[in-house]
Amino acid sequence: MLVVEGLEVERTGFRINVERFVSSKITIILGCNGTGKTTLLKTIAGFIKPRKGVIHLNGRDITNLPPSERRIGYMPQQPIKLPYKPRDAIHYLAKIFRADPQPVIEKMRLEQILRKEKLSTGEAQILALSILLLRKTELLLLDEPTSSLDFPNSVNFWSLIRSLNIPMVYVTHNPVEAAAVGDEVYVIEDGVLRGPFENKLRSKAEELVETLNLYKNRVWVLE
Amino acid sequence: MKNPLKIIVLAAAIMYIAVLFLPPLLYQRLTLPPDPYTSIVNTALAASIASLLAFPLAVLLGFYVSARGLAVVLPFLMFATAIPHTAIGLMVLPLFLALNIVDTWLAVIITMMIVSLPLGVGSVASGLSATVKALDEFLSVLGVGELRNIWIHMRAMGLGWAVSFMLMWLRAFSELGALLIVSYRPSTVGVYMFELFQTGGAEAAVPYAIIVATLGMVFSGLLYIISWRGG
Repeated sequence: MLVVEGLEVERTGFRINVERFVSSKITIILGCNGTGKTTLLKTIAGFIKPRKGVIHLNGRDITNLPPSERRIGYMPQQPIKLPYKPRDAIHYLAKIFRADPQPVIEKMRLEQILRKEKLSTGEAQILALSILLLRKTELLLLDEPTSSLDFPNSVNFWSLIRSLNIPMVYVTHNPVEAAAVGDEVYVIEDGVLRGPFENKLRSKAEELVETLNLYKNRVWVLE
Repeated sequence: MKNPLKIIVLAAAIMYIAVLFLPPLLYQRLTLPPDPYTSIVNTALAASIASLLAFPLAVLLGFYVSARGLAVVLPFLMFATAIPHTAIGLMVLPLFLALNIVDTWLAVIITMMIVSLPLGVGSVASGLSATVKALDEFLSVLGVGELRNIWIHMRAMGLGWAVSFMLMWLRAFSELGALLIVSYRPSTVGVYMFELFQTGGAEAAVPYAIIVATLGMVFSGLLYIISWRGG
């Protein structure tokens, strides 16, 4: 469980205040552009040093630990494209971490992706996510992971995320995505975080996503 | 006329080449100096050694400038590209005198490293800028070691690293000002050309300038091909 308390982060002309933020399931941080979502995520990841406050992960104080020692997986907003063939990438990084890639390959159903030479952005995102799972990760931080994906790929990504069963903080500006993916939602406005709000819109969002997934249904007439 | 701007740009490029090459070819008696190539080969070798030695440092600095927000070091390096390199030669001269390496190939190589490093750092930093931040954060959190992280970034640059290396090499090869001060002998391309002009006038030096300029065009063409193929 991630517990953030009394956090204060200051960037040039910008301040974030978090009284208390707890995440043990899929926790959404929902907010418009420029409200501090990425800054908060980077602070939890360890790239930004907070002015005040503490961050605990599963009882460990990680506030002052370097990113590599936090046991966190972080997926930045920009798509991650590793300079290797997909199969080489996962095996190379698995070798570095002395991990067996096979369980991850199976869990993420990567076989088809690993047969390819080049990946689409959506596939590259799934591969990147899989690489994060090679290490013993206690929390995933995902920064608008579907921002460069089309709708069907986003839907696939959401369902994959839901199947992982790993605590994660998922940042998005899209309320439909928040409702379709999250268990609970925090809202950030002008650097102030409010929540948690229980996600009571999941079934409605799923219904909406199903209806809107025109690619899947091959229905090209909007009615 | 499909695109007048394209034609203007093309014409300007052709004019540039014409202004450089036509007058010496039309009006100069072209007699090659007795040994036109030794100095070119030696300079190319020195530039290669200097670039090979300075390149790892350029990669390291370029990575930190681009990925870790150390852009503040760039002005401290790039200033060297904005001053006459004679000044750099004069500034390193006391050190070279103390080390007793003035007028040696070692002095040539060290000077070439000094003048080509800023260009290498800038080039690596800009080559990495497209992907570096996200990839670095992704790998850092995973706990990928620093050197391995840099290696993965180098691979991500594709042929961009070759472009950076070639830019450094070209800069080292073309150095004159600093080398005039620290190593008149053994003479590099620039110094040799300068000496030919001083002793034999334009008639002696111009043919050599044409050889060097043609060589430069070949290398620039090569650089363009590498960049075009994915640098």
